[in-house]
Order: sequence, then structure tokens, then C-alpha cells
Amino acid sequence: MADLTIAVSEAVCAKTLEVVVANFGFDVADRASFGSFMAGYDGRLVLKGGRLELRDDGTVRLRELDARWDKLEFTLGVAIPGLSLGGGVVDLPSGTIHLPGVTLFTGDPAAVITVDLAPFVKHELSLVASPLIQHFEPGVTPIGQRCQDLHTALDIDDTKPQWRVFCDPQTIDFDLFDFADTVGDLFEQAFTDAVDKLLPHGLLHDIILAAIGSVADLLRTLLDIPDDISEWLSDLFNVSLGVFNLILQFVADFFGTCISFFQLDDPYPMFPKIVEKGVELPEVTVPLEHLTATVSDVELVVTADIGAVS
Amino acid sequence: MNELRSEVAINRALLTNPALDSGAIAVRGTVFHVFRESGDHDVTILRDGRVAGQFTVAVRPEGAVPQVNVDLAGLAAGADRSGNITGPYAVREGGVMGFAVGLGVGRYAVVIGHTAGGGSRTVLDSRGQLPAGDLFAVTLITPGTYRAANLASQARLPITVAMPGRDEPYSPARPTLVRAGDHGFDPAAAHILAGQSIVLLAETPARFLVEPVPSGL
Repeated sequence: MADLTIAVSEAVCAKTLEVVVANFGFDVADRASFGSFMAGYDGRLVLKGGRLELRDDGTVRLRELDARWDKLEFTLGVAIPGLSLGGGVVDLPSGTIHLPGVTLFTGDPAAVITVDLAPFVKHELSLVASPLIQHFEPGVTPIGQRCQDLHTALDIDDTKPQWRVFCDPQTIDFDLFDFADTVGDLFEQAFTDAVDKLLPHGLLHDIILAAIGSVADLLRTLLDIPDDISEWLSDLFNVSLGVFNLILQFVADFFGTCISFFQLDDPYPMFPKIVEKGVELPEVTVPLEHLTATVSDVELVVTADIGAVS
Repeated sequence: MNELRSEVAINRALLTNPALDSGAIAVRGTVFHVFRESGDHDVTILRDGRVAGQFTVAVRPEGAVPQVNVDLAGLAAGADRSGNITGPYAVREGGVMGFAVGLGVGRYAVVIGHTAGGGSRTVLDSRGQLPAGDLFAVTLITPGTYRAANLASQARLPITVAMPGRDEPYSPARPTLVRAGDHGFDPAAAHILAGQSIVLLAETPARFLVEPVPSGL
């Protein structure tokens, strides 16, 4: 039989969830080249709300967490191909003559826009987790840099040995990026305007448009966009830029290895240091061993042995 | 392509519509010379009458490309202090070198000498007449009426340049060939869309001038 038993009610666990969620912040930024264009993003994902449920199968369920972007600045840059007038080939009996075109631009023209997509993206996060016990040894147990930053921000003391109980996600249900058609239309219009501004005005503008069809057509060719630009945008975030996987990984690390739901110092302070009638009584601590954590549908039960009992 | 610049400059030479002269090659005009004999050819580039660069073209019976296009403005800018331009250039016998001007307001001429038997013989001096077989291509942008003239024969060719229609297929890279022989131009008139090129083939020695015709004439 365990020497120490602590029962944490679902309500207390829910309060803990509130604190954890309030401190969830995922800063993520990257950019990548896709041949004819460059795409990048700079965002901060936060969580709000959510419900915690302890289940009799020994798992913890976090439901309906709203994942919102404080910002999600999306940058897209396209190098405009060498537009030229004239050119072509002439066939003569002696052979084919290739005419050099007359280039329209000098330098490397490119159109770059940055739009904040944060208002247009909503996700919902749910996960099912099992208790995971870690014995934290300062300087020995590895902590990732991102986690270290979180610990610093949350004033988590990493200088003492502790038993830590994490909610280790077994399944994570997170909505894929899904941009509405209206977002695709807005984005296309903004980018078309940016490219259009690069083109000379007046007669040359009309001739270029006659040659390329329209700026929107040119853009779709350069970006290899199918009919549905919003779908292209969603795929870019979900797959090409890999933001979806980054979020899943961060969520798994955040709950599973970074922020514990419950922790006990080891050795555990049984009695604090006191001074009584001029006599100083030292702090009494006991080592904890064989920590376990089990979940029922009403509480999280943590047990441990006291002392070096084998 | 992780960094993109959005600065861009329009080729300003396209915003003007001067006459285009095979004797003074400028933006929108290209002289094509056909190398009929194998051997080394010395090419001298003149800008506004002054030597701006020199290089050699090796013309080979086989084993070389059939055509090389060069940008005279770029070559002149890249010449060393002695005016030498780093080559080598080589074309196949019967091959073509196109002399164009990519940017700027400079007007250029090309003089080509064929080195053989210890001497050199001029096979092209674009300031005079293009030899038979050479070509002069012009790209016309501003809609309107133009007149091409062969100053060697005083033959004239009216050219009409129209804006492309909204719904008609249009490609700038669709040149129109016109032959310039003893009996004038063939065809006798040309119609192109703005941004396309007219290619004048000298069937006899020719000096071409293409200029806009002022409206009302």
C-alpha cells in the first residue's frame, strides 16, 4: 500500500487546465521557396476556453479548445518572369532566325504582399491524454528551448528535483486550415493589384495585358493555382509549409513534456524549518518513490512511497 | 528565392517612338548578319561613331551553333580598357549573329571583317548597306501607320500597327517577314499588332529605315 495518496478532483484539474491554457502561446514563423514564388508566415497561436473531462478508461479529455491566431501574417512573393515584346522566330530557306525580344523591365521585378489572415482562421482543438510521470532532475532532464522559454515566462522552478505529472496526448484532433472562398478572393485581388502596380501604365500596360490575358491569369500560372485559390492557400499552410504538423507537434510537446498538470517536490517537504523557544528545528523532507497517477471519472489519484523503500 | 526585391525599372526606350535605322541600331531594332564563309571574323562595335568594343567570331563548317544573339549595349559595357570583349564566339558556317540593343538610348553600328590570307575584308558595315541575305528586325509598339524604306532602292513599305483586340488571340512573338528585293518590298504592305516585329530581309544590298508616319499625312 502506498504511503502517500493525493486525490485531485476534476474541478481542480479543470482549474489547472485554465491556467495551462492561459499560458499556451505558440509563436511560429518560417518562409520557404517554391521555385517561382516564396511564401512565409509569422503567427502566434493561442488557446481559449475548453472543457476537461476525466474518464473512467484512465484518460483525460480536453474538449473544444478554441485555437485562435493573435496574428497570422502571410507573405507571398512572386518573381515576375521576363516579359518582353517582339521576339519569335522567322523561317527562311537557309534556316530559322530567332528574334530577341525587347525586355520590359530592368532588374529582377518581384511582387511581394503581406496580409494578416488571423481574422479568417479558426481551429478547434481536442485531445485525449494519459497521465505521464516524469522524475525531473535539474540539469539532467532535457528541456527544449521553446519549453525552457515557457518555463521562464511562467516562473516554473527548474532548480529542484520534482515528480511531474503530464497529460500526454494520445490523440490530437485539430482542425486543418480551411480558408473560405471569400478569403481566397480577397487574397487574389490584393496580389493582383500588387502585380498590376509593377506593370507600366498606358499603352504598354494594355499590350502586356493582351499578351498575358490578365494579371490574374499570370498569377495563377506563376503560383500554379488551380481553380480554387482558397484551397491552394489551405494546402499551402497544411502541407507545403507544414504549419499543421508544427502545431500538432507543439501541442503534443506542450501538454506531454513541457507543462505539467501536477507536480511534487522530491524530496517532499514534510515539515518546514521552524524556530521554537530559541531552538531551530531543521526542515524535514522525505524522498518520494514509485509515484503513480491514475485517472477515474471523478478524480486524478497520485500515490507514492515515502523513503527509500524498495 | 527567399528574398525578393520589388524595385523595378521600365525599359524607358520603349516609351518613345523614334525612327529605327539599320545603320544606327537602337532598342527595338536588330541587325542579323549571315556568316557565309568559315574563318575568323573580327567584329567592331561602334557606339555613336566611336569604337565601343571588339571581339572575334570563329565561323566553323560544323560543330558550332547556328545562331548567336548579342546585346550591343551589354557587350560595350563589359569591354575592357582596350575595348576587347571576352569571347569566344563561334557560329556555324551559314549561321547568323543577331546584334540587338537591350537598354539605353545609344545607337550602335557593327563592322565585321573576314580575316583570310593575311588580310581582312569587310563583309558588313551596318552604317552603310546590309549585304544580301542579312536582315533587319524592328518591334513596333505604338499603334499607327509606319513607313519602311530601303534607302538603297528608295522602295517603300507601308506598315499598319493596330492594338490587339480584346478577345482575339495575341502573341507578341509572332513576327512578319517582308522581303526587300529589286522590285521593292514583298508583300507591298504589312499589318501587325502592337508589340510584334517586322523582319526585313535584304535580298539585295539594303539600308532600312522604319519611321512613324505623322497622322494626317
